[in-house]
Amino acid sequence: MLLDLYTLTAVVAAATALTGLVVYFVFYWLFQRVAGRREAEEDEVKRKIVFSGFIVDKPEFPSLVELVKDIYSRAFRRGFRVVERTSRGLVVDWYLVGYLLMLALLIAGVVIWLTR
Amino acid sequence: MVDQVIWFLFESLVYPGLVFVVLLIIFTQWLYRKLSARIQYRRGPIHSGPFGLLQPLADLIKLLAKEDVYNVFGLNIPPLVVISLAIGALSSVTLLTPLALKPLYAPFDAVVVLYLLAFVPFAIAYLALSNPNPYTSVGVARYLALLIAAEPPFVLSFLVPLVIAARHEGTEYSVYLTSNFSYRLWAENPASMALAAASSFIAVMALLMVKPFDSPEAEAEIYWGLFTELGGPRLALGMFAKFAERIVYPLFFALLFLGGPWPFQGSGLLPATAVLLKYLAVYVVLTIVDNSLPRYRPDQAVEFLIKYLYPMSVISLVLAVVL
Repeated sequence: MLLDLYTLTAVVAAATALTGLVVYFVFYWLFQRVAGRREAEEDEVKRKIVFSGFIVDKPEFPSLVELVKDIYSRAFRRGFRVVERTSRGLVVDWYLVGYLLMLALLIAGVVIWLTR
Repeated sequence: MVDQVIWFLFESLVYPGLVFVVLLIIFTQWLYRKLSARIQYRRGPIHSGPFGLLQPLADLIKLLAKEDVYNVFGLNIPPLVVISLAIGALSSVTLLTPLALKPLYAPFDAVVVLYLLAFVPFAIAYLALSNPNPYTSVGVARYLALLIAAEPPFVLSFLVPLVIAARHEGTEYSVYLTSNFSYRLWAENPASMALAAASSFIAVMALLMVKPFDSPEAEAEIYWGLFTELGGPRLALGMFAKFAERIVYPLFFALLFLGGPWPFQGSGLLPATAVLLKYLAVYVVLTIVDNSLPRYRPDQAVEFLIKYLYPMSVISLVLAVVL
């Protein structure tokens, strides 16, 4: 069925929302209502994080960004250092980069105006 | 109008939508377990249903019927809604394939498909992170590192058949129309198609966490990483999304690189059967690879993907545009 892109996007988004809600209500809500069992006895470790037999009250969650950076730094030792140094430089010199971008826009505008 | 609404509900919820995807997951998971068992000299599932065919369904029902337990640092409802929508997205993209009785298509509909496919890994990562645990954080970080390395090459190589078909057959970047002409694309630009098929297949392996790219869930190392803290219905929905991904990605590979519904055209019983057989062939290859290769370290996986997959996919796209 040939549609225009906007109608197709709307139809597929509607199908996604409808199917998603059916999945939620049938596979989660309905199952929990009809067949979801609760444990007869609840112990103190339920819903807590336990390491080596001890409850951890304040677990440390490592930073995702640091972990991803660590994986990439191991994969590309020299290249990663260059990228990191360059991006740090760009962040530090943000005003210079912004100035250059503005200048480039200005020059592009003048060129377009002259060649119109 | 009423007819169209009924048809839309049927296609979204029954075929090729939700019910069909659930049945296909049950069958392909049974196939995966049987093949894995044969490779490892075991028998695999035998008790539930004929030949153990209903074992995945029994496991799903067992998990769904358990009490929903999430840890004190976790979120309750939002991750369940997001992962349900991700399953909805995977189920809905099948409406744009020759599996549908009346496939939906539009110029540039590939953008919609790519957007919906890109949503799913982040929904899985969100579900995992919303039940935090140090092992989960490590698993999610590995998954994100893998996504950064594999998603762009997948998108670039996915575009190659669409570009070739748009240039030579006037299909206007529609997935359904391209799949109907994809048997001709290998003759029109063999170099570009070969490079794109290779990079797309490897990217699909990484996105589906097939070995050697399964470091995000490395069982013996980080206790299943992404899924460490998930149990009961949360684990069931997470695995549902993961298994649905294993249907949709190989399906699109078969549509774009293996001739789609060829030797038939359009949609209907015979084209859908041809597409499903090709999909099952890709799935079997993925299963055998998953059971045969050792695991890469996360940095090795990322290095391999960026060093080889990025150039391959970029060159294939340039060749598709130039030749």
